[in-house]
Order: sequence, then C-alpha cells, then structure tokens
Amino acid sequence: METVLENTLDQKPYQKKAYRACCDKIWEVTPAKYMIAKSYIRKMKVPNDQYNNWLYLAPVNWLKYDDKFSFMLKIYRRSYFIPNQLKSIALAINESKWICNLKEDWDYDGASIIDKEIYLSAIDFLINYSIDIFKKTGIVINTPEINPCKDGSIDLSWRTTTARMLVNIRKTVDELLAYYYGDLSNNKSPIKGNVHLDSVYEHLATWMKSLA
Amino acid sequence: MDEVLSLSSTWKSEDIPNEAFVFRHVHVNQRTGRIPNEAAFKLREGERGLSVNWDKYIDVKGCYILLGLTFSKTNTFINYTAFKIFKLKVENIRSIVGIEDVIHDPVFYGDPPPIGKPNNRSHSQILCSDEEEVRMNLADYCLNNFDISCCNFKVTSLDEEINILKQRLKP
Repeated sequence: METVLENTLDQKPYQKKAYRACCDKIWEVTPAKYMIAKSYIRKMKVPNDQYNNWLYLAPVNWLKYDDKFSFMLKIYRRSYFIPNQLKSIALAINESKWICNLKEDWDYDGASIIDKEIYLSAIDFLINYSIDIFKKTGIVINTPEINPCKDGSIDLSWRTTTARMLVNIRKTVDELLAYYYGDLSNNKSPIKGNVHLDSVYEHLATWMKSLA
Repeated sequence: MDEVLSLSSTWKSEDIPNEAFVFRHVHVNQRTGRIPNEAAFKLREGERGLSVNWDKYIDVKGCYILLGLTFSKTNTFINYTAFKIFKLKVENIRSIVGIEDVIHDPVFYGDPPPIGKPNNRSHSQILCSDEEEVRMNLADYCLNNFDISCCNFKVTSLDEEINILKQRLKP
C-alpha cells in the first residue's frame, strides 16, 4: 500500500497540484492526520448539486463518528474515507478502474463502453452500503466481484458460504437504479427488487449483512 | 451473436430434446474472477434470449471455427481465442427458474453466406428474462458443474485451419 498522504502533507498539502498528483491512489490516514484531512476535504471544490455535496461531506461525518484508522480512496476525483476493516473492498475498487477504459465492442460481441457515471454509481453503492453496515453493526461484508456487462451496466456479485447476491447498476430511461437479487443457501430468504442510488435503504442493508 | 437473424432458410426449426446439450461461448477477460460470471449471461436491450449452438449439428471445434469466421461489430474477425465454451445440458437449463425454453433457431444468410456472417444450422436460443436471479443461476450451474461443462480445447491448434478458411472467403 502506497502511503501518499504523509509525503503530500510535508510538502504543500492544500495545493491543487499536489492533490492531482495523488489522484487514483489510496491514502493511508491516521487519526493524527484526521483534522488535516478533514480541512483538506473542506477546501475541495464541492459541486453545487446535492448529491455530490453529500458524497463529499459524508466521509467527514463518518470520521466524526469513528476515529479509527481509515483509508482515503480516490477514484476519478471522488474521495471516499473507508475504514481499515474494509480494506479489501477498497483494493477491489481500486483494481476495477480498468472497466472505464474498455472500448466499444470489448467482448467482440457488440458490448457497449461503460459510462463513467454508471461505474462511479456502482462504486458509490458498494461503499455506501458496506460502510453503513459496518457502522451500524460492526459487520464487514465480503468483497464482491465488480464486472462490466455488455449492455454498459455494472454487476456487483457476492458469493459466501451461506449467501449469494447480484446487484446490477444500470440506467433506465433517465435514472440510475440498482437491481438486485439475493438468497441464502437453498434459495431461502430471497430478496429481489430495485432501489434508487440516492441513499442507503434499510431493508437491503439489513439483508446484506448475510454477505459477511 | 445474440441477435436473432433467421432469414428464409432451408433448415427447419426442430424440437431440442432434454437429453441434448448446447454450447455457450463466454468471453474471457483476464481481469475477471469467476468464469463464467453473471455478466456472461446478460442480454442487451431488445434481445429475447442467449445464443447457443446445439450439439446435434456442431462440436466444440466447430463452435470455435464459427466464431473465428464471424465479424464483430467493428467488421473484423472475432478473436476466437478470447472465448471459452461451456456445454450445458438442455434439461438442466430448462429447469432453471426464469428460463422459458431452449429453442432451435437455425441462421441462414445465403449461399454462399456473406463474409463474416456464416450460416449456422446449430444456432439455438435460451429464451429467458434478463433478471439477476436467472443470470446467477446460469453462472452457478456452470460453476457447480465446471468439470463437465467447461470444454477444454487447445484453441490455438485451430489457427492454421481458420486462417486457410479466411483466405478462401476473400473474393
């Protein structure tokens, strides 16, 4: 794991140049660096629309809740604070960025390119639900596979010894939705439906605890 | 390849018995984990089913040759080495919740067929909905029966044969 934050802070932490240099790296954030990181986030240019505001500010709120060690994951200029316990999820996300570089017809069967908006929405979904479950219950869900689909959507796929789940993030008409199906061993307690990506839905988060 | 392009053909559609097998080609990406994963069974908008080939009229080698002689959307021959082929028992596929049927759907483009669009008498379709549950079940069927369903074939052994066939296609 590359420790980027410390070096950056020793130089000029709040400058955009340094910020860009650290793009797409995972930062190790210690409690001692917490206040600096928090003010750093505040100095970031926050887009006007509410969704992005929430996205940028949520990690700060989370840090207030828990002072434990955490990571800052940067994906295409979006910043996420992720607790250390969810490190493997952060790494899987970091490794999935190749998906956005796929070209038209990447499967030789007419596959569409993966829109960055859809990719980032899938990452938001994964991070928001895994952090929410961890915050409320201390449960760390398994790391899913993150796969591109030929229609330009993204699959998040979990398999554990007792449960399985597939979440497909796709655009329908004008809105992005997460379509999901999950069940426990022998098709028990199935869950199926779709949710908007604007917040964490309690019923889905409750079921996803089975993915630990 | 998942398009339904049955033109007026001399081949009649037949009933596929439960004992039969169909071959499904799966694009293999080096970076993905499980093969096949659920994404391999995703339909595009407007598609009714997944393209497969009935083993009555084709074998694994034939599936690869067919792929190698087919154009992708960019009008270049498909890289057939980027695929794995899975053999699925029709009876088991039909028993999966969300699968409507497995039907024979021969594809005939002409005699001779245009370059990049080979006729395919074995072409069949797994009619299904594009739901997450169905895709999971199809992927799990292949993974749970991996030793039987995954067709091990040395694809590169076909390079010369496919190149000769491609040369013959040139006008």
